[in-house]
Amino acid sequence: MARNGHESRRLFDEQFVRCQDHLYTYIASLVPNAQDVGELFQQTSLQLLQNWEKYDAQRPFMPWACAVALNEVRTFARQQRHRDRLLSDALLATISETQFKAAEVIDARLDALGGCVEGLPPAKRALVEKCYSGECSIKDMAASMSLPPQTLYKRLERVRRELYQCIELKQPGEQMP
Amino acid sequence: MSEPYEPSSAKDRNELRQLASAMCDGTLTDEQHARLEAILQDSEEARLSYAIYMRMNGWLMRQFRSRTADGAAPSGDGTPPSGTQFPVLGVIGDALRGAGDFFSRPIPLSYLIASVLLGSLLTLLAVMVVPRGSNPDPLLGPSAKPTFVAHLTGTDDAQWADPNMAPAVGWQLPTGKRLDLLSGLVEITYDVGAKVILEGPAAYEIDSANGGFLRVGKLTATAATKESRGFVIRTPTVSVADLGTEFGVEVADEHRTEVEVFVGAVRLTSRVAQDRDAEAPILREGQAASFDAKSSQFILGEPATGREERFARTLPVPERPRETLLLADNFDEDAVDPAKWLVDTSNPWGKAAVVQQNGRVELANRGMLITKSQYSPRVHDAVKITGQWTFVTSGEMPNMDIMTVTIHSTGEPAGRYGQATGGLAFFCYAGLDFLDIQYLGNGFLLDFVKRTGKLRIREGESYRFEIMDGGDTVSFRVTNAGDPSQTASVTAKVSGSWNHNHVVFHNREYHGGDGYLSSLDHVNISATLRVSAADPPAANTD
Repeated sequence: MARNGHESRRLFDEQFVRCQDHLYTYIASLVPNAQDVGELFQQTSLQLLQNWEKYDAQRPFMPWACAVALNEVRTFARQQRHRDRLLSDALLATISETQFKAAEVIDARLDALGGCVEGLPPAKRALVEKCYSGECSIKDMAASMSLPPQTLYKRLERVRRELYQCIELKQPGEQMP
Repeated sequence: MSEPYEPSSAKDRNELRQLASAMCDGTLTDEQHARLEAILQDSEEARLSYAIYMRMNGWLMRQFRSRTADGAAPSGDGTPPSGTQFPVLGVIGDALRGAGDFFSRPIPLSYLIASVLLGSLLTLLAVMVVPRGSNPDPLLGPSAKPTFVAHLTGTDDAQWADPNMAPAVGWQLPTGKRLDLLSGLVEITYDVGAKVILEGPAAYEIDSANGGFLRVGKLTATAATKESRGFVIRTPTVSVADLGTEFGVEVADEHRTEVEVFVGAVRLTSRVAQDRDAEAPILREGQAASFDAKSSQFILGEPATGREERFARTLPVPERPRETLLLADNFDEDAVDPAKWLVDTSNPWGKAAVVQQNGRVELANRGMLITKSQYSPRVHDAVKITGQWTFVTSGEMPNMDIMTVTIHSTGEPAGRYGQATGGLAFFCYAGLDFLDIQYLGNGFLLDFVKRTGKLRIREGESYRFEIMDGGDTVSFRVTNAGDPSQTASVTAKVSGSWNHNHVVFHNREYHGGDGYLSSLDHVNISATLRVSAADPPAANTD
């Protein structure tokens, strides 16, 4: 029995280690603010660790982990929605469900993203690095560059569009809209 | 009443893209927020596009977000480190190709139907990240550079969560580096002298120059140097600070951290108790303690009997490589050494040349440099071939050359393209960022067992390569000579037999224009230990 428990825990740990990146991007798909994502990721990790015995090793780990994460996100969103203009509770659940249905489609695109970022022209890549580093706000960055913030937001949007196009173009078959 | 979202409409797709971007940036107005919700409620296609977009945003966050941005403590101040500390991107890939219209085509429903297999969610993104250089944009200034504080100094049967991004022995490790180990042991040596032996499954992060965060799993830490005094292992519930020590830590379950001291003493501090200063027990040699977050109490005691091997305190001593140099050539003379090499420039496409000059041998248009001697793992247990290759030029079609090393070859060109005959060919494709092994001719079967890393392969750059031929297993590693963090390998099992054992180096055959030119230098061929299928050669960093 103890052996079984140990084995279950080992399986859990293995899955837990594997899922970290996926879990993070999943949370980020529902709550876009990086600091909030970090907090929710931590909170979800804690919940998973605290409830590891509830994990059924016969079933896929990620749906269970994402369900835990979704609960955390929804609780958070109920408190923060007005501040952050988050999606409604129902839409968070629907977006989440969409991701499960289209897991392969999404994974394939994220797999291609590293190469796409690497292939960006240096200035665009630098913009992405800087904007996503969290070192300063877009507004502060724009001020330091003597640019209106809107210009920087626009540039960032264009780079995201390029990246989205790139991950689509790297798919062997049909592309997503 | 909001207009319905039409996936085939470029205008609608563009609108969704802009709304998603504004959501990422936190700049949505109330009106935009309402419109976004309406679109997402209306259309499954829009929901999927939005989900991809937002996951992409999350991926970028995870790759680039700096430590301090999430308020994580850089060192042992009792603040739990954030899980979002991934300072730099290390993935390498294809160059951006072309452009099309964003959201350019309607969603194929077949994708949705075909992709309900939730197991695929475990296809993970890069975990192990490798530092990159400075930001080249003068407008944006230098990006945060990684601070290297440790090296990976040993492994024993280590299986990483993402083998594609697994660090190799000898790699520098920066703060923020996460090591997600499924099984086996790895040894991390901090520059201050502290050592950590991590035992998988474990998730560990180098969170400072003198400490780390063990999220789950177990480790043994040794802090024997003056500089490593105060080395701290943090867990979700406890900080274990060295007082001149060797100790083991296990994050056993959601509430409990267990600590055992082998040498010296440690100070334990709860990271969850309200009054942290009130309890900071010192644990001495031979003592053990566990901390229960539910009760916020340390329970001191002796290590349980029969648990001597609970913590791995050393890595198994690796067998010393019995390496015997069989051939070495730095190509410093004025001509190819006829005692070592044969040359063949009879490629049917013409303009083939092999010229030794400028301290290297230059290979043009599939001119072949062939070892005069033969090298067989039947004789030498395993044969290791190393060297440095530079893609010099491909004329009008840049990044089209191919580095090719063929083993078990007759040394003679054959076929339409004049490749070396027979044996196994190791290919490194400029522009495609791809390594491959192929058998040429008859008698071989290949079974690829492992690919690791990613490598950008470009003209004008030099690459160190290492081929291990263990007879039944071969492996091929290529490392950017200027950036050892860029490295990739492929390992394959081989079945078959061979009658010739020349080693042949050549590049691509002539296709017009100026043709292809590569250079080769620092070639060593040595007899060494056999290579394991699970253990591709380490990064060639010498």
